[in-house]
Amino acid sequence: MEFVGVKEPNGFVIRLKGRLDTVAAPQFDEKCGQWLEQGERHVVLDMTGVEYISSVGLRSILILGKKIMALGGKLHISSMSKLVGGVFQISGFSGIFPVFDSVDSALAKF
Amino acid sequence: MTGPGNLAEHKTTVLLIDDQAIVGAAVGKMLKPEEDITFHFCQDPSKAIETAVKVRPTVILQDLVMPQIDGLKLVTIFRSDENTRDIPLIVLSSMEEPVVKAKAFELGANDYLVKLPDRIELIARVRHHSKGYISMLERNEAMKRLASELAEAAEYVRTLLPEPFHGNGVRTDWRFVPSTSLGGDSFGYHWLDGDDLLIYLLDVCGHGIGAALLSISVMNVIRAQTLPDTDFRNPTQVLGALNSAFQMEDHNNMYFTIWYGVYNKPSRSLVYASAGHPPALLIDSGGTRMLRTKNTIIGAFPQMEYESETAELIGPARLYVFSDGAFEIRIPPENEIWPFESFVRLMAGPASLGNSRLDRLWDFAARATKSETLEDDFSIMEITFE
Repeated sequence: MEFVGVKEPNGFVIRLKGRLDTVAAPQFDEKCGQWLEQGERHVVLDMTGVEYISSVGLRSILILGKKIMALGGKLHISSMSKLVGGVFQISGFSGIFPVFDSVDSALAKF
Repeated sequence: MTGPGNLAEHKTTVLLIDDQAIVGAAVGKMLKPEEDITFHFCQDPSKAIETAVKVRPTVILQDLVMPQIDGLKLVTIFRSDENTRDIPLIVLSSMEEPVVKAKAFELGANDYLVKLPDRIELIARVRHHSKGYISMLERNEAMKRLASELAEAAEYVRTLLPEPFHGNGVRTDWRFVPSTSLGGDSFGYHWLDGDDLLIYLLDVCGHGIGAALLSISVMNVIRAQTLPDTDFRNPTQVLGALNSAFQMEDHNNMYFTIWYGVYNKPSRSLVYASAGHPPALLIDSGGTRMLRTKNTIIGAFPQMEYESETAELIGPARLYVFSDGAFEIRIPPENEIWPFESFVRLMAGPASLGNSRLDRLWDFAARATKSETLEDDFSIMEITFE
């Protein structure tokens, strides 16, 4: 899985590409931990390139969201495919984190 | 209890196949000062495999020119026998012959030495190849032991699952096929009293023994009804109490999803709640209904409120409660996920004589994936209300 962090004027966008699963989750956790240490607080997860998310991937997003909330920040999720959006909805994650159709609208709501 | 120390120890062991006794004596002499290297010599190439099976070398040195057998043929034999196919093989020849060398590598030799090699070089190559082979053996043994422990854990989960029963107007059945890495599924049902049947299925995030342990803990809490101040007929209370008891920070950052329902026989109603879990399917004279409530997973945040709903059964009914592993089936070659609608159609469709819908579903999954196990636990219960 690829992770790219892009600093925008009113937030930090993490672009994900590939499968967020047991294999990718530890790298995702480490990378996000580094970005939080650098001071990022308002984060958008751009899920455009995510083909699949497993329960371990969901756990990583939940842990990231909880860390961000504890630091006084916000986590927004954007641009999920129908498949990934379905997983988010069934797991109840769309009730925990605000979900947006585009990165721009997710950034605009910080 | 077992620990990492129980892995077999492998000593560097050299087997030389050469028809010339003098070569055997020379190589033996070179290796003799090395106390950690055991040396075996086989002068009869027709006994090469037999000797290798007996002494279990970590590296084989093999002459290419022997009167009884073509040396390259022997390389092929070593590579085709399951006992020796992975053992590093160094071929020895009396001269540098690029064509022969290339052929030997093509047939599966790992290295080439002109005999008699320099002692220091020989020892270095023996150690290098043996080290790689021993690492592979240790990794294989660790994987085998892990697979055995996972199978044991899966068997333990299976022993906790309730027997299918038929009585009091209800018939139950289920299928449970744990994934190779053991997911965190568990499920069950039992009568709370003469009127109320409790039905639940949970799925802990992730795979492995950690997920199974949490799954078993939750299952035991539900089986023994040990949540404080909780009416187990009330799904809202049960999910709230489970959420308080199993916050992910206290459980190695693991959460779980659950479907929990209670069937009341006199009223023929089913009160249920799901938390982050796929819907259950209720099929009766009223059609097919998906029973799901929009609650989030168990363990994410304390003080979550959980909602429940009630379904009235119309005539004879069937209820399917399952985990995502029962329908998220990847269909090769594109690995596309089987549409959920197809799963619903199969479960709601007519029964075929002598083949339950549960078997049909599993047969489809096994056939589609060409596998005896899936990526995730395959768990599904069928509850028939007469």
